[in-house]
Amino acid sequence: MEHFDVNALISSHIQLSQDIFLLQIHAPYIAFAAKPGQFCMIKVSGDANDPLLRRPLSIHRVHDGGFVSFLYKVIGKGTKCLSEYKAGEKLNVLGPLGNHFAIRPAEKVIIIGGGIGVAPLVFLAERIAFKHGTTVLLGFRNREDVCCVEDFEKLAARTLIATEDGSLGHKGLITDLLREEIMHNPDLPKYFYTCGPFGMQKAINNLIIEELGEKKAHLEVSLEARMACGIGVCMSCVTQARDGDYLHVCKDGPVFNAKKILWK
Amino acid sequence: MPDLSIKISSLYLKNPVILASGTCGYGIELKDLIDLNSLGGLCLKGISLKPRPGNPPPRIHETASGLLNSIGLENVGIDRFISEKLPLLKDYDTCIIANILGDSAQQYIELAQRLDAHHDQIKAIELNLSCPNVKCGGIAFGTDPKLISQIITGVKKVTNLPVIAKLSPNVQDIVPIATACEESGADAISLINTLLGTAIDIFRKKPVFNNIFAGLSGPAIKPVALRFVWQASHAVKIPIIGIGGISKWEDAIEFFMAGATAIQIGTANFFNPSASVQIIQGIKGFMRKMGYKKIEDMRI
Ligand SMILES: Cc1cc2nc3c(=O)[nH]c(=O)nc-3n(C[C@H](O)[C@H](O)[C@H](O)COP(=O)(O)OP(=O)(O)OC[C@H]3O[C@@H](n4cnc5c(N)ncnc54)[C@H](O)[C@@H]3O)c2cc1C
Ligand SMILES: Cc1cc2nc3c(=O)[nH]c(=O)nc-3n(C[C@H](O)[C@H](O)[C@H](O)COP(=O)(O)O)c2cc1C
Ligand code: FES
Repeated sequence: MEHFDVNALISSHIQLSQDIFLLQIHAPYIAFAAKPGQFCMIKVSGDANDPLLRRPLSIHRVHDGGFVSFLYKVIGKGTKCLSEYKAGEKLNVLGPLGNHFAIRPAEKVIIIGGGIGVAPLVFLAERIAFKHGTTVLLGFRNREDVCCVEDFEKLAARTLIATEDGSLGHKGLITDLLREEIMHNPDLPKYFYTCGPFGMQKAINNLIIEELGEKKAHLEVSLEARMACGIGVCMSCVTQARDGDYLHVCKDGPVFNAKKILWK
Repeated sequence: MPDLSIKISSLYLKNPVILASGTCGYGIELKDLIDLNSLGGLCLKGISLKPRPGNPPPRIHETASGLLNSIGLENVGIDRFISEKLPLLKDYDTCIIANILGDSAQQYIELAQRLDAHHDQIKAIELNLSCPNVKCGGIAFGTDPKLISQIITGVKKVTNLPVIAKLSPNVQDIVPIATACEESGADAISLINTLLGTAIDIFRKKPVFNNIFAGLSGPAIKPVALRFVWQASHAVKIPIIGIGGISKWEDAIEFFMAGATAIQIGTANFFNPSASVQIIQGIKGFMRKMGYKKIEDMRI
């Protein structure tokens, strides 16, 4: 898969809530090559060595004219550093990296996102070209964390929300919404996509297998791992496979068939 | 026009910039990002007789201007290296160096023998002498001059390829070790491998790594690496390949001045895949500006 190391101009950088930012860069090569589920490695410290490593961020959307956007949450030093960049400045970005979600017919899919894990799912939804009736389930801790709802609604998706504290939508977990969907929908979609915390994706995998059985459970998950290079040369980004082998998230993933993963 | 080419015994490199083992995979992964033909050499991921799965995660931890790693020498093993990885580099014009590791002298010898059969592609063998010697109760090979001599002498018997001894910095005194390498016939010495370090997760009150200790690399270790290069190059006559924290051309020049004949770029490849190419340009520009004709002219 072809990738590019570019010094991209920041076209906009907006703070959406206390710690969530929407960054847009002009990077035509990346925009053209990108597929949903792929990510970029971003150098957040310019020419300086602190922080040393690039930070992986999923491609949130691509836009006409060669623009690429990222949706991220500030959680530590690197993302804080990134949040201080301003429109008009340049940012070194390497991408698109990794594999991607398989595109399936709109009427057969359910998209499930948890927290900032919704970031790559908007791009996925756009490429799936939503029809009415396609379902998106989103789970957040609270109202403050909720994002991307309008993006999905604009695509005419049926968007259901759960928050742990009940401040918006269903009070509870995203698995509650999913169980409901599966039970009340005899005409079941066949393919599920998730991105979010490992524990959430594990619970979703368990639920789908429980309700549908191993055979009918088609789930694609997007995983995270500590990465140094993002291009398959350092061997740092492993997650364990069910067969005992290590999978490299930056190359074999970040998207995996849930059946391949050891959900420990 | 400065001449960047160098020689390490029978090995000719068009320039002194080599990518370090473990930081450029099997080489081919970088083909979209840099012109592999512009490099002096590529030192591929360390290879063992049997495939090694590597350590459970976490395998890396970022530190101030540095990186701790505990990859566990994950590699595909010599068989797949030869059948799958090597052919991918067939059409590139750069010097391919195989890096090997073993649990015993015998394993190094066997690996060297297997690689020698591919001397049409492989131009040198680098011995990673920092791996734990299982047979000797966990001492790194790199700390014992006798064991090192045994490995180098054995390897030299089975191959005519230039042999580079890659040394660990986790030793009291590098001089007797470098001397042992020279006396047993090593064609060059490369150093340093990573410095042993650790990190603690203060919220879990536990070491970050399952193995507790990990190897430190990156800009943070450059002064230490430079000191080792200085000491080794003043102790032996064989060429020294300097490694450790090099991320800009100015760093490379410091290593040449300290006595290195060539350099390897490691961790910098991760945060700047073009580092090596930029460094080659930078060296050329500096030599032109300062009137140096050959790399060795820069030595103090
Ligand atoms: C393929 C992929 C796609 C991602 N996409 C997004 C996204 O679209 N939006 C978003 O907000 N976040 C995303 N993440 C997570 C994001 O990379 C981390 O939040 C970020 O690296 C944290 O850096 P920091 O310096 O702020 O945090 P620190 O905790 O200070 O980072 C310390 C080190 O740990 C690494 N690290 C910490 N948390 C994670 C994590 N969850 N995953 C991987 N490495 C981590 C950092 O990269 C850094 O090397 C993605 C991660 C991966 C692997
Ligand atoms: C992730 C990683 C993997 C490495 N793997 C190997 C290896 O397989 N064999 C080896 O001899 N050295 C290995 N090294 C050491 C490097 O080749 C180099 O000696 C060291 O990192 C210091 O250089 P640097 O500061 O430029 O990275 C590895 C280093 C890193 C960071
Ligand atoms: S991050 Fe380097 S191999 Fe995946």
